[in-house]
Amino acid sequence: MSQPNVQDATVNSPIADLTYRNYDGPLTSHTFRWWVVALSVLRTNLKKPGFWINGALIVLIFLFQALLFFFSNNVAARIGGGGAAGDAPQKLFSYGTTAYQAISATSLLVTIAALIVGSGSIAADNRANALLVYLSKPITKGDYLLGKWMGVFMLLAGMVVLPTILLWVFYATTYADEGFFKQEPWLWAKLLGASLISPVINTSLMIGFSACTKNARLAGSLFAAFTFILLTVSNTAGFLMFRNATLDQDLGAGKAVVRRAITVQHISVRGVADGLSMELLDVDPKKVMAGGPKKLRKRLQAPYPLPLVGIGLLMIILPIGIARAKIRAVEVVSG
Amino acid sequence: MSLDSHGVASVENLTVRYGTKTILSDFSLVIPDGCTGLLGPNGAGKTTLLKTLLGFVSPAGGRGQVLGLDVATQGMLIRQKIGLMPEQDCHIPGMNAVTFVAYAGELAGMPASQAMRRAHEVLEYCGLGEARYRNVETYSTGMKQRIKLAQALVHGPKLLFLDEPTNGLDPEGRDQMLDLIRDVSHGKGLSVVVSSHLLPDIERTCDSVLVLRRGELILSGPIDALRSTTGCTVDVELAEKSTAFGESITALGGTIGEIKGNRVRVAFADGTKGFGTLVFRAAKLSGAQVRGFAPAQRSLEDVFMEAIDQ
Repeated sequence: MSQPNVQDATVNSPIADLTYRNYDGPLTSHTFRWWVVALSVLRTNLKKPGFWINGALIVLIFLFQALLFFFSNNVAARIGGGGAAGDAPQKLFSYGTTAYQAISATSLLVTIAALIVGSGSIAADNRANALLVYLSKPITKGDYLLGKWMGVFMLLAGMVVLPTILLWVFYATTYADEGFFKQEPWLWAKLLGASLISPVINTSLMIGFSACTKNARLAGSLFAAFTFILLTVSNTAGFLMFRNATLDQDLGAGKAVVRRAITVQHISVRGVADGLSMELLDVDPKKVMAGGPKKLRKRLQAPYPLPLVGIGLLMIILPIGIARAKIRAVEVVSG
Repeated sequence: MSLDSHGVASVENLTVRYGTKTILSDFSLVIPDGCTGLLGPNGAGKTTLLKTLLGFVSPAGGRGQVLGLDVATQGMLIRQKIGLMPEQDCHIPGMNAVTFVAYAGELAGMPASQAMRRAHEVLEYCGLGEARYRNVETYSTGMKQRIKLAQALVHGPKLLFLDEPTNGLDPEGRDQMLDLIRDVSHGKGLSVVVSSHLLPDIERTCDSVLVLRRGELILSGPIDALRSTTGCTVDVELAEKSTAFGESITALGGTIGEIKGNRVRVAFADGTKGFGTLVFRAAKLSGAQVRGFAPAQRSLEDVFMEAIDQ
């Protein structure tokens, strides 16, 4: 059998066609053009080990809370003897309280994850003049911003929502016989809502800070500083107000003053998420707080939800507004 | 001037201000089909004009169209049909070349599979086939210029804006880039606007030119027409240098202009009949040997300097 002349073939036909051809193929609808941007954020960040480490830690927190719930209820059932026949055994923690504790404990990890996946989301584009590429294509500033926001949000939400769903599945499979569905028919929706609060706020803030600079590290530092300083200030102010209020309460001051102090204590990224989750999941703060003087614990109340909703919305809308104003294809110098 | 029937893009009475500073004032022009050079010294308003046509900058007055679409209201449709190669380095961080170009295609609305196929094609065309899997951040200046061209071409634009395409390139890279521009702008079904302050680049790639100075259009037209000289001026190529030839031309009523090596520019008064015969008579008288003879053409630099000085 004769061999084909490989050398001749290589010489006569180049491997690649080097001519330019026009493209007249199909085009996708503009409606979901933001999804292309979001998908790119997902692809880029799913390669980062930091994201997965955070995710794993969050899963461990949920696992720990689920085990705690399981064993504490078994202990309670044994001690209480299961209650009267047909009654569900009395639980030390409610379903909502356990979920709240898990979600609240992930708060710091969500903030760290926001730093990892979000700090460079727009800052890196600013540094590389990528906005010239984006905005010279048929996408709007809104598409770009929505894509970046959704990309970061989906990553953060995925880290919390997936373990939350698993927790609900654990409840549903383990406690269906004890009337779980009857007692908590809407728990899945409440859990979903509670688990999304922190990712939404963290995403918006991180996107806002990222849009203001060309340096991802600077954006991350500003975000971290904002989160930490706000937490410290609100906690300190709230604690002082709480202490004064509880002292006054001894002298007959109303419960409203104490509740106001607790609300002030929640004016932070973590505080807003915690306060609103508490409200959504009907959590009694007296049962959540471990340790501390019993007298003090008895006076604990949930914060007012409406101011927290307002502050939360501000933390979402304001950074997005700033980011939108900052996103420009070209630097227009006034003068 | 009406916008309706002119060229691939045009503006009418356009005014663009950055803050209190007016960059373009009551400015009108038409960009013809083919490859057009946008020439002008730094600060002439070339880049501002491109930004306005792309919708990046909102004009304070006037109107414009690109490919028949209104600049003020149809920016999205315009950007679907054009490609921009910006002056500055620009890329999407953390991507290799083929991913970057495919991503640019997807941003322009191409389905992912088509965008990837097209990205490979365009990178081969731009001479980056071998380096397509390298991170763009590791590219040399020349490669970065090429990838900017590739991302501008990926979605098959009908009009390409190239802003200072040879910026920062070494002579070899510049040659290759100009060859690419020349190739893509001729017979490929797309028009190209090259904004540059480098006259040889424009001369080599473009068919027509628009010259801007301080926000005003001072000259426009096909390059060949602008370079042609008026009157009876010819370039004569001699076998060797000859001063006697010059003396003979002067004796016959002509003047000797620029001399470059063996090439002599000879001018006769407007309306001189049979000036070709006069050239050969001068050659015969002086004993010089004529090797070539052609109507004289000015360089684009002469045209540009003349327009700027006016």
